[in-house]
Amino acid sequence: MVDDNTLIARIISNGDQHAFATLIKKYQGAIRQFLRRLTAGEQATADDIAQEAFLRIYQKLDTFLGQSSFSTWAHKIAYNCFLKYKQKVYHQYEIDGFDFSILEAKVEDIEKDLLIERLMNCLDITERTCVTLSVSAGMSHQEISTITELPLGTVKSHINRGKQKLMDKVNHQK
Amino acid sequence: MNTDDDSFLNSLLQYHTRLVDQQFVDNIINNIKAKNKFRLKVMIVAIFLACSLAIPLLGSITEEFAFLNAFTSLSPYIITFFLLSVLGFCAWLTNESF
Repeated sequence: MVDDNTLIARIISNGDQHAFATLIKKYQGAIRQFLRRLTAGEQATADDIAQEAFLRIYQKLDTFLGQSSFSTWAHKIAYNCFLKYKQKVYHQYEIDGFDFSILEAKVEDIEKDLLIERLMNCLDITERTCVTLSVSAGMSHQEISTITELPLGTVKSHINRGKQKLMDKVNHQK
Repeated sequence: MNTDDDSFLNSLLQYHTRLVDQQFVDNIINNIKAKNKFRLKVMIVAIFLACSLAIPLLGSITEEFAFLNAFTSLSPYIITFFLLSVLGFCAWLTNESF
């Protein structure tokens, strides 16, 4: 499989759209999942933001210096697109009364996904971002700090506080 | 939060269905193609305009650059405005995200 740097070089040098399609295929899962958690279940909106993010990635690819991994850089762009969207419009779902037995029952995966995404509503945006990147995407604190432009200590406390809030919510609903 | 709680929450948050969608990829590539097409059209119009201005000048090129003389004798404000407009248009054309 061709590595990211080779694909990026092809896109920058001759606008190779096939190479960019390969990059999208590789990272669409991670970016869309990240945005679905940030929008707390607004899946259509998350996918719109993801499309916007990939277009910006294509336009700004020549500014990628390789100081961080491509994944970190792409997540940072997606995060900025989300913040831009949030400035314009933002919805908050009520999550009281959710049936957490879905988590144990064998139901459609999509329902389970949606429940976990909506669970994110009990966190503020920064906590949501830090918890998702740390636990779901498996990124290091340093990478999260690069994406959110927050100091390391702040990232750690957002993760701990966010996880505690989520645990309280799950225990309360059980 | 004890270890059991922590591992339960981690496995909960790590759960997700695999998101792989060819339609999503195609939409982005089509969007890029549409933008490139628009950009090409604008460039063709710009080249056409430049040529339509330049071709009539070919006849007068032997007349000691009459057009250039006429241009330089214009008000400096008009010359500056013209040059800035051309410069701005060129900058816009070369900007990837226009």
